[in-house]
Amino acid sequence: MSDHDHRSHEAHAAWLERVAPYLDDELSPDERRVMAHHLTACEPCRRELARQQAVRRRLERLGAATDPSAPHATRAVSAEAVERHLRRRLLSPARRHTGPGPLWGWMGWAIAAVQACVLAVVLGWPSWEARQGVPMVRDAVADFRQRVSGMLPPQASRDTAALARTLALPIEVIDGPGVEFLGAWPTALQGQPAAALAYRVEAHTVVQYVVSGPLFFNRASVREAVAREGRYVAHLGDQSVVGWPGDNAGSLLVGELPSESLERLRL
Amino acid sequence: MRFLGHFSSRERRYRRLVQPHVTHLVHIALQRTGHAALAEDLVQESCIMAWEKLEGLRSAEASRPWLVRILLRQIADHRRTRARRQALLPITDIEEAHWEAIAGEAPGPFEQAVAAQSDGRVAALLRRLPDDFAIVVELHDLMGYRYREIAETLELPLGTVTSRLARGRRLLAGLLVEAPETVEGIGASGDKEARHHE
Repeated sequence: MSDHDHRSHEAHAAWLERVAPYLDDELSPDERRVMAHHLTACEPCRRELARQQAVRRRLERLGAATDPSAPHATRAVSAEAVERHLRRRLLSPARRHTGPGPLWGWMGWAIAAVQACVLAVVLGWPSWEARQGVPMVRDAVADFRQRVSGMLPPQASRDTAALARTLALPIEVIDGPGVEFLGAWPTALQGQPAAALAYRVEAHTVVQYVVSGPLFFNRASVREAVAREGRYVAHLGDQSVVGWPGDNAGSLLVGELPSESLERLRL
Repeated sequence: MRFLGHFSSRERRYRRLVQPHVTHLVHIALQRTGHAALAEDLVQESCIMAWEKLEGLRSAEASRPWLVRILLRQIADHRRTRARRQALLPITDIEEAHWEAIAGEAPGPFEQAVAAQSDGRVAALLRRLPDDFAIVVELHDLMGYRYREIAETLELPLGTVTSRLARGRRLLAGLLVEAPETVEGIGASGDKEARHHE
């Protein structure tokens, strides 16, 4: 570039900076009018405009060709595939660890934990296991979370008698006003056979898990809760769980309803 | 038979604030990486991070720029830790050639040359630009963002967006009319070309 060209370029620097916003309709009406007037007299700015325009047009074509939402696009990666993988990862029982927070956050949690322990001792609150759920309950909630936003399994059926025979479990369907039985299917909690029965309760889905007596009473916290109150209650995240014993079996009712509402359903 | 749309509160929030933008994130990731499986992984990681930080998102309007920022950080992290470093570009030389060209060329041939480039070559050249320029060009020219949206998404002043867009297009213009044998070196080691990088 000659000295003359360089000086000319520097003199035009401010104008050249406005070429792209002019092309992209990002100038105010006044600025646009002034720029349009300048362009009529300035050959380098017109060439810069032509170049920017040519690149932008070519990129717009590329954008249309690679947009995964466009109907004609080659779907090398589909949003649906990403969603499917995400569902498996996000709703699986082994949720990703979120990593440590800042120091003050941990200190806050530590103080809160000490306070909670003191309160637990003083007030005789239920154990951590009773509040967080025994393994059987955690499996039930994980299964509930996986099922609740998807499809009922293909083997789901209304024939609970056949399912009871297959699993050798006594299955009693909950019946009551506002409770619609959707279907039942075989599943497993803690590696042991269980029956899952889905219900629609108002706008919510509730799932009842029927397990064997030995599995239901496997944990002391469940045995103690049933001996004391006749039922076992736990809360895991948004889900409440109410458990009660049956004839050599036990049921866990899982749903995003208050535990009191779940209890009312079984009465 | 379906469970008639009953979701946990977090999942409802995810579906409202994140899910509508997944296709857009895929578009950006595909363009930024040029690799379908990697793009899918990066979008998944971004969505998981979004899931975990969902409480921090205050409004539906803020969700897209927030998600794009998460994705761009994922892409940058990936480049830093696993991918080969981006080949450096002789930016000053390219811009110098650009100013010479607009001072003296006849209109026509440049536009024809640019229009004749294949999608694959344009996309590859775009990925060769420094990230700061490339992402602004991609958000505007490929995905239709306005300047203000880019500024909000990348948390940049409006003037910086304007300048990066113009410079990014100029650099791309320079690469598009480079000799084919030079362009074939895209993705190879950029050492021999690494004279200037801002």
